[in-house]
Amino acid sequence: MSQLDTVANTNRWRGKSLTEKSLLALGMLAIAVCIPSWQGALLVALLMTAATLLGARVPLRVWWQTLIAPLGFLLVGVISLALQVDGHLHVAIAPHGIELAGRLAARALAGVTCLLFLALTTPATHLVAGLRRIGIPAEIAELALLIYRFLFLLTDTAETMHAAQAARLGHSTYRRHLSSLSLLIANLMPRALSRARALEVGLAARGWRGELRVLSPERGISSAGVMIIVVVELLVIAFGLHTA
Amino acid sequence: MRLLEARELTHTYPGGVHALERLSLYVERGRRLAILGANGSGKTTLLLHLNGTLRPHSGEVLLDGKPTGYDSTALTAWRRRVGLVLQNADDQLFASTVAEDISFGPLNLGMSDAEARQRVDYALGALHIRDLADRPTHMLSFGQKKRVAIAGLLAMQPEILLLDEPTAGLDHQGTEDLLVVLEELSRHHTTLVFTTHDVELAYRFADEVALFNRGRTLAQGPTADILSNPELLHSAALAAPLLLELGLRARDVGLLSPSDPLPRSAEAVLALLKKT
Repeated sequence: MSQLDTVANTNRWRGKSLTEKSLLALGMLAIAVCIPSWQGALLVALLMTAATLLGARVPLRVWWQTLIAPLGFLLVGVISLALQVDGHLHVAIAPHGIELAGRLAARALAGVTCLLFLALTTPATHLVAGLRRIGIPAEIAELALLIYRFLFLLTDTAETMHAAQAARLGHSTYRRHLSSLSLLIANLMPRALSRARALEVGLAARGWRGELRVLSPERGISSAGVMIIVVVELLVIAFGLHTA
Repeated sequence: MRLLEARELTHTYPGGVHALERLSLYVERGRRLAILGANGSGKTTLLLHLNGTLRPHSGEVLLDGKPTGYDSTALTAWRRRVGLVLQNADDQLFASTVAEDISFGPLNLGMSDAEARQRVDYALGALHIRDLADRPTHMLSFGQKKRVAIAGLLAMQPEILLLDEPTAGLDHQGTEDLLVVLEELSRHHTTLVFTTHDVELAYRFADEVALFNRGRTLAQGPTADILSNPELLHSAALAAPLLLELGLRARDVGLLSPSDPLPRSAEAVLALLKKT
């Protein structure tokens, strides 16, 4: 989780304009969803993976670890689509099952790589600033940012408490592990609340009145970048229509 | 001139802990006031009252001699003039980069982007952290976070800066660097109020000390006067700073005449030794 945040803040394309990045990610996503050809979807997945790993230089390890959870869901969906179980509990491959599953897998994979690209190259605050620019009410955008922030506070707190318990042998046996864990969970909420409250005091001291506005350096949109993205997307569409 | 004043503040936390009991204190323009007290003496609670985060159960806080209000307009005006730096810098930083985080305060003051950018630049320069501007806030060292937290308030150019335990957890060099920054701020007419239990720090840096114990002000006055009173220090569970003791002894044995200033640094003691 915090790994994802770190990468979003340190990758090579961090400073690229949000407009360009979302044009690429969301455009490709739309193509993958709309185009009937599975080859097209695979091409999208390939291109977006290349953009993430080679363009933005996101470490392969982080990319893979983030991908693995949605991949698990995808696998379950694909298997249940490919197989069928009859009344006698005989498992067989469904008619057109493989083809159907393959199409779904290609599209879903393409979708996941698009969103991963956006998540791994763009800091959360930039996304929120972008949401605000396109007219999403500030309340909703900021709620998202705060939830994101407090998730980190919560995991930080849990990790610290866990380390402190382990240092006093709270996790040495299974029984102790269970009872320590229940103590941790019971104490996590008040702790996290008091840290959240402290952050609120800190923000209030700086004049916070319910709006989290910061100066995001909106790098000018490079027209060359936009051109390249549009051309690539048109090529992908052409390829998708050709192979359909 | 009394810029900020606390009058007979009482604050009781849920559970009956008396954090402040009829506490009074004043801050004069341009001074450096150290709020000196042991752990749990109510220092942080007082700071939270001085910027309107907490409301006293009785008593009042005065800005320019007038009672402050607690509606949102009054609080905004109040916090524009009185900045508070929390002890834990992590409680203040939330944006993804240093420069973005520092811009938060100026934008809250209703400044345009251009003005805010100027303020950010000023604060980065004042804290000597221009090189950190584009770094993610959660990837900074403890000392760097502290500076960024101070810069975040400095960008709002408050008249008074309240600092809760500014040197706590900082190593020697970090403390020295911070004091240089505070010295510069003070020279540029920012009134400084900081809490500490470090008598040496208070002696070295403050020109006025308020001594705290159990939610009360035991005494407030010029640093040397307060810190040279052993009974007073003892009742606040503190001990006199070594340098001050040296200076007073030097006076006793005639090394220093009563009109000479007391030594406030190792260099000053050395000069005294050389003289003899």
